[in-house]
Amino acid sequence: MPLADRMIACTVGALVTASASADLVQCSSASLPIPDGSSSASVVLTVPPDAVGTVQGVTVSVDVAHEWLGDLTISVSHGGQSAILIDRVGIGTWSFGCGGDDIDATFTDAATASADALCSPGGPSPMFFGEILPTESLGVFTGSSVAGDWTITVTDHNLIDAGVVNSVCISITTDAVPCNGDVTGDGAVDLADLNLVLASFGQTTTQGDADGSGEVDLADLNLVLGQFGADC
Amino acid sequence: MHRLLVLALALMCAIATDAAPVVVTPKHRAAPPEEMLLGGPLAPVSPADIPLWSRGAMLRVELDADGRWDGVLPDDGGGDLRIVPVSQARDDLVLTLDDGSGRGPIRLTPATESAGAQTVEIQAIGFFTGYDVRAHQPGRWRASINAPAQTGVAYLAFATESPAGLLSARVTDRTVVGRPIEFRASAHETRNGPVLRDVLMEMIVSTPDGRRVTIPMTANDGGVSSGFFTPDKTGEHSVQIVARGGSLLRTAQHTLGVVAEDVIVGGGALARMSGQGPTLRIDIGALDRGRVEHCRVTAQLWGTDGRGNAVPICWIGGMTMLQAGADGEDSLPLDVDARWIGRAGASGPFELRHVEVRCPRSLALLSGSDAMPLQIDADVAGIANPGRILEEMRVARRSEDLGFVVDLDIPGINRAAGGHNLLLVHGYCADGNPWPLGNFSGAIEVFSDPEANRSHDQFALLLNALADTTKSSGVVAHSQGGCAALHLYTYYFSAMDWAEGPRLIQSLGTPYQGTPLAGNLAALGDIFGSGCGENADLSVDGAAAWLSGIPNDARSRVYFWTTSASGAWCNFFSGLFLTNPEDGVVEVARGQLPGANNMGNTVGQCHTLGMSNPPQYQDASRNSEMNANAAR
Repeated sequence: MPLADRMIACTVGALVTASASADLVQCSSASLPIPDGSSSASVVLTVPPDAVGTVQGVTVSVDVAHEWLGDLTISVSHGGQSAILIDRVGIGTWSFGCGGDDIDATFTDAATASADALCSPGGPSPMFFGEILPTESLGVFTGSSVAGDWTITVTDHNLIDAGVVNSVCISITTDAVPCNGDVTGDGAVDLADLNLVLASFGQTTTQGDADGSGEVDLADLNLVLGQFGADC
Repeated sequence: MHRLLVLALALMCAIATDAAPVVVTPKHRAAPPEEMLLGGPLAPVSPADIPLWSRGAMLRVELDADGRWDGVLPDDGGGDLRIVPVSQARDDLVLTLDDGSGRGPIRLTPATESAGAQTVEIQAIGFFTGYDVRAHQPGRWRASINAPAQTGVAYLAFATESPAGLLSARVTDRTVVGRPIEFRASAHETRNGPVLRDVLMEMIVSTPDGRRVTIPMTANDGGVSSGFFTPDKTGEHSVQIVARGGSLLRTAQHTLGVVAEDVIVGGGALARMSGQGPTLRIDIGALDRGRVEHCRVTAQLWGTDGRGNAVPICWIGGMTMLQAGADGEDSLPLDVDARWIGRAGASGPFELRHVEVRCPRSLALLSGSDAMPLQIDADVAGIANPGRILEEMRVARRSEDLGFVVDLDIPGINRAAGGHNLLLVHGYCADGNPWPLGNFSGAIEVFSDPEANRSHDQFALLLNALADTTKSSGVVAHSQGGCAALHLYTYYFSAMDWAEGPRLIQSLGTPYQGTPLAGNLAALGDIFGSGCGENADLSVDGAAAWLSGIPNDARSRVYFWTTSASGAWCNFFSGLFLTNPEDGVVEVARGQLPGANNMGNTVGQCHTLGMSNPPQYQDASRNSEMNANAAR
């Protein structure tokens, strides 16, 4: 790893959850300093190779503390594709770009507000907040395999002001059928899963705990029944 | 926000360039109705409401081929007479005065100790000898000048102990070529005392091409005299009002910019949403007669309430350029946040009142309209009342399509590398940076535009050219530099907008309300060349016109200090024309900026080096405070 670059790699599992809408949400909340001046910090979120399905949509949430947002380019890359979320906002308007502080925003193609529109002297901190339209469409990832590394790269192009990546989250909508009902892990939601849930029903255990709540209860039973017959 | 502090002085490299095109983006401002109505800081001003009061005189005398002049010096005071002969022959000039009391003529030379001869520096003009002639009789002195080394023109600048003075004002708002400009004047026993009768008035107009025209003024029954002149040239004009009566002689120096009538507003205004959030673009109808430079446009926006009464919505203003419309009609665009309409609960019909178009070089009034209809092609009826004035309502969203190119002649400006800087700025016609650099720390930049005469607008654009090389800048400014910094912050987007810290603009000895000295210094130009020349923005009525376009929101970012002499005056010459307390250039009363933060007056400091007290900008304690509190 180059000295000037910082990188945090997160493996899937600890922060990946699955829901009935089949979203993968993966986050890193490890603090990562952004090297000041033409260097990058990268956060790698890894979806393991056994994850199934293709990408239907992506949003990226970013929490960055930085004193001069016009210094920053932030991009996300995966599977040979990349999309720029922001690119030195305000350059071309202000000599050194947008002078606002901090980002706590979700980049989504469904947003209507651009980062440029949010940049204004005397504006709030964080200056970029809420849902923001990325500079480049995140639709570039649609159809790609969900598995693999998702890399969020933050580059500071100018000296003087420094910052930190506080957290990033990527939320991926896939076409895979949700399979947390497969509590036996045999690749299908079937009678074996139903039996395991019923056997553990009412207990505090991970055995048969489909929703990861720590207890096996009606919610777990409903999950299995709802996904019954699915191949994962 | 935490900032990296660059401890070393910024690297500076002097550049000298010819005029260079620079794109600037104007900032269009809005302010609540209470600021624009009568008594508010943005209420329309007339120069007639801002008269000059003069207790001194500048008597212009012509030396003959032998360098001699003989004449009469009226003195209505008795007691002390303070007098400064201003000519090119300082050391060889002998002034002789005889009050007819029988004690014989008083011979004044630079070595005349009995008359308190003292060296007097007149800014950008030179060094002279001033005299304080004591215990004489009032009357009409026989006076003579003998300056063998000189012919041509000299001035006798003097003041008596009499409280009588001359009150004079320009009463014509518009100063455009081809239109008569009227001045009125009256002499009074005291500042607020009765009018003195039997005083003859005349006005002497000095034009930019060097002509001098003397015009008699006509007195009415009330003792107020009036005179007109019609300029045929653009540029800075100097008008001296001369009052003579018995042993009274007073003069007052006015300076004003005359402009071509190259834009005329009229017809009406049309507004529509600009597409940038809640921004409303108001296009004020205008006739383009060759206008090539930007203008300052201000107006009051009025609507109608539920009962059909006119209701004030807000004041709007900013720099703008004439734009050609698709339908062939020209307009002056101004942006404003439409939520002001919701705040006022107003609906149509709408109207713009007190529309003023001013030339930013001299703030001369180019064109105006008392009222014009405003058609708004947008659904503004549904705009909710935001409940309070949001900060983003005070400055319309930045619109790059309003940007324009200015050609800047920027010789000698030091550009500095750095991120978040403190900009040290000098004043009008200064030799260079006056601030002791050792009193300031961190990343600093030094503005240097020596011995230059700039309008506030030109000065501000030069500051912008320097500040634009940094991410953000706060300002510590001396004298006119304070006006320039406030002008920049008010009217243009710049690196100042991103500065963070307690005090954005800190100024010292800034003539926010002008100085009567501006005209007097300008008058000396016919002896010494242009010197630093006339500067209408520094005149008292020019300053009032400028201030009438600076909302309180911008003023509140200014922290200002004044100083004054510990004795009778800071400068013997300027003391003839300024009202105490003053610092040799700026009267404390006219150094005030209502709406800003008054940091107090320090007695015992003068405006610049070479005056009777130490120069104000060398106060290490104040400088340290400025440094510690500066936004950067």
